[in-house]
Amino acid sequence: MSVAATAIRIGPFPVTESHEHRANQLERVFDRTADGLYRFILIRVMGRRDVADDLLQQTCCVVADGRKKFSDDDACEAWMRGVARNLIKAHWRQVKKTNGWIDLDDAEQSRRLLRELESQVWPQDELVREETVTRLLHAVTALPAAQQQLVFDFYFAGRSQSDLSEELGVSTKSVESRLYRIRGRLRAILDQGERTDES
Amino acid sequence: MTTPNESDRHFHENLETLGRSTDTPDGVSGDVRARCLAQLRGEAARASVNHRAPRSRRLFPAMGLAASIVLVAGLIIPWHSVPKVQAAEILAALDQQLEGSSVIELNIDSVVIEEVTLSGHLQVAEKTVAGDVLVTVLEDPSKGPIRIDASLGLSGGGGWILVRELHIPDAEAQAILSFILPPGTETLLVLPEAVVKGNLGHGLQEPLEALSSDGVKEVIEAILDSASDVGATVTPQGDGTVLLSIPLEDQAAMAALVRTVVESAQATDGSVDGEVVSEEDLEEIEISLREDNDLQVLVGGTIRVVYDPNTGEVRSFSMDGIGDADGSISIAVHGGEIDPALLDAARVTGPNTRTLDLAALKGLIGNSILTTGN
Repeated sequence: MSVAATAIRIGPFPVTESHEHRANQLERVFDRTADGLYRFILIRVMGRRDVADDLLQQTCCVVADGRKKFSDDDACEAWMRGVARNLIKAHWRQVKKTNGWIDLDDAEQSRRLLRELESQVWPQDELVREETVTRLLHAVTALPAAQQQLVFDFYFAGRSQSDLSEELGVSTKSVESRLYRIRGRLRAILDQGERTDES
Repeated sequence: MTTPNESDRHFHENLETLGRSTDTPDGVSGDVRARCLAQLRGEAARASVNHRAPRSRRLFPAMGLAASIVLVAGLIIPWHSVPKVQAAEILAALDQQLEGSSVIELNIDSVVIEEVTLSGHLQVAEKTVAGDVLVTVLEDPSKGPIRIDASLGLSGGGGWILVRELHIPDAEAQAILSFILPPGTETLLVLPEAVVKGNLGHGLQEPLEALSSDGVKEVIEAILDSASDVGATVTPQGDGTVLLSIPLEDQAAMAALVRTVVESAQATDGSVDGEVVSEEDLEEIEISLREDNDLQVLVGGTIRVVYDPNTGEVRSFSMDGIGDADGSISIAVHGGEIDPALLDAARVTGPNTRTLDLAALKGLIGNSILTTGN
């Protein structure tokens, strides 16, 4: 503790209130979005859990040390993801080992995939390829945590809309319309790149 | 041609096919989640949460140089990570490594780092710090700044702060504060011995490790040898010392400077202080320095060091342009001692004393190195 901080803490006045508010907000947002943020990192480091663990903790270090303030929790979540994205980039620059990895920044390939997915219903054996799955996971994990979770629950885990509506405390119609909006966002991410998720 | 509805239906059905053929990626494990939450709560020191800092950060202390003073690291990075007046502790470490001189004088003029503006004058001797500081912290522009105007004295055995002004923008808090620190008066706050000891002990440990005398000498001499490569100039002074000026035009320049220093300090086996530094490590350090937003505050500044090549001592260090064009830090090394009576005057009041008849103290202040105002 610095001398100035010591002096300040002698008095019983709330000079650190805004810091506490920020810390509480960070903790709340992280607790709610941790899985989504972790998957965002995991997919981008080739599924390396040890690397993802490290980068998630580094993200929290950077976030905790910063002083940026947020208008709401969504802005806070988007910022955390931005910090994680920068750390992932630094990781790849550091290891310089991208051979065999799919270039997920190749926008044209993502647009091509979108056109394929929109053009017709494909049989499973033609659709399920490593690159397609990876690109899709890349796009899904770029979604905010709540939307990401809904996609995984509905499309990946195969849970029904009524089951999800009960869990979320909303009508099945509401779940359906949320999924519709999420598909629109996913398509935008595939079409224009993942930064559209923060706009 | 497909309609928008058809496109969405196709997309939906293909998503179902893809999703049901794919496992949901794992979420975060419980222990990593707990560590992260501890980080965000500020409960855990980095080491105690099993967090591996980037290699560049682990490497700097081991090198004993780049985490150091004259360059970005020793003064500035610790300064930034332990902000405000804790710089005094770093300077106390500086004093340790410059044992030939007894007092180091630090002048800080309008250094702006994010919402903190710092001005002050500190004198640092072995295990003792005394001086004036003016700190303003503008967290919320609509409310105005927190403002602290104080003199301070610290030693390993105790310490005090003479508060001339402590203004808090919150009216309610200011009212409470006025009972402790009546407006318009100076108040002496005696710091518990344990607080001072703990702070000094903790604060000095890391800088002391980084700021070895040999390390500083190596840094300076490496820069002198490579001055033209890093855009530095060397001007011989009349008294046998040299003035080394290092402009930091951008973060890439800082990175290049550190690389030069590290390469110069490498032994034939590529190690620095026994730790092997690979090309990958060097690249990582450069990337960290180029991209660390915190270091942006240094861009545009100029470091000036007066160095005695005969004794290996730094006579003075200054950096201007910190945070904005007007910000500067300067350090000079002088002979002389901090008057021990100054600290005794505070200590005799006892740990529970909140105020003191200031006449005696002011008399001491008038005759001592501790000055009020500028």
